Amino acid sequence: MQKQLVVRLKSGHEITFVPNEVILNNTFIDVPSLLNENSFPLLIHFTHDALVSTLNLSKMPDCALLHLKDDFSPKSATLCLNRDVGDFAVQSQCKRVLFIPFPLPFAIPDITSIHSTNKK
Amino acid sequence: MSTTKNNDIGFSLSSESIAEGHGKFPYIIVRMHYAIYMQMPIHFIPKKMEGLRGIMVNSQFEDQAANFPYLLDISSEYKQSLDAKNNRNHRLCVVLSPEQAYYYEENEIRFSPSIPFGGTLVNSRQEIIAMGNSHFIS
Repeated sequence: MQKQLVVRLKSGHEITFVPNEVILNNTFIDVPSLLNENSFPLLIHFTHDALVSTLNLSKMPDCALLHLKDDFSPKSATLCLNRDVGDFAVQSQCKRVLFIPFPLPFAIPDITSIHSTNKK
Repeated sequence: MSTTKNNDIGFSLSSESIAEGHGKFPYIIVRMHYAIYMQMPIHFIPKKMEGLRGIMVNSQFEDQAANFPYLLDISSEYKQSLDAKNNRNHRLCVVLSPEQAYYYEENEIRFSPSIPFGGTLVNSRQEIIAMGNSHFIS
């Protein structure tokens, strides 16, 4: 069964994402190269013991990063909007980061919870 | 109906339909019957504009992306009114880009990187505006 993440909004709407999950033990990840083989929505699961992971986002398509706790509840978010040539990276303290394409049809502050279920 | 250069049967959106606002993101696609879809454009505009068809939303934002967080509320309200009007559940989705659609399913909204394509596309007056082609202007 495939994992799916259900995002619940203040309005009561529930949005289901079926992510392409990638499990990695590295602390530095070049996300654009991951996207060559895995389309959005992309879920990166870090298994290393370091405190932070560095995500290179240079030349990424516009997307939102949802940094998730171990139970998938949201901790923070990053908007990746590349407008100029240059390098761009973020660090995350979370072991799971969900990438979804931007723009979104809802406001990120309206997210009340995220939980994981298995696709039937 | 006409044939394209590749001899595929169908035709794309006409300039008249495009002038009415069809073929531009974002829009709602309602599945009317098998392979028959209705397109309902969503326009975020600061004041009424003659000639546009679809859902008009008053907005002062110049950046179109600033309007997108309201899309689920707009499409949900539209679905509610359509379901009530026709007394049945409609299958529809809101399309944000060539690789981004949110489908209304039984008790949830589901993201997909695949958007509706082809079939017979009609406008809100049930007039055929495209057939066997993409639903947006490339």
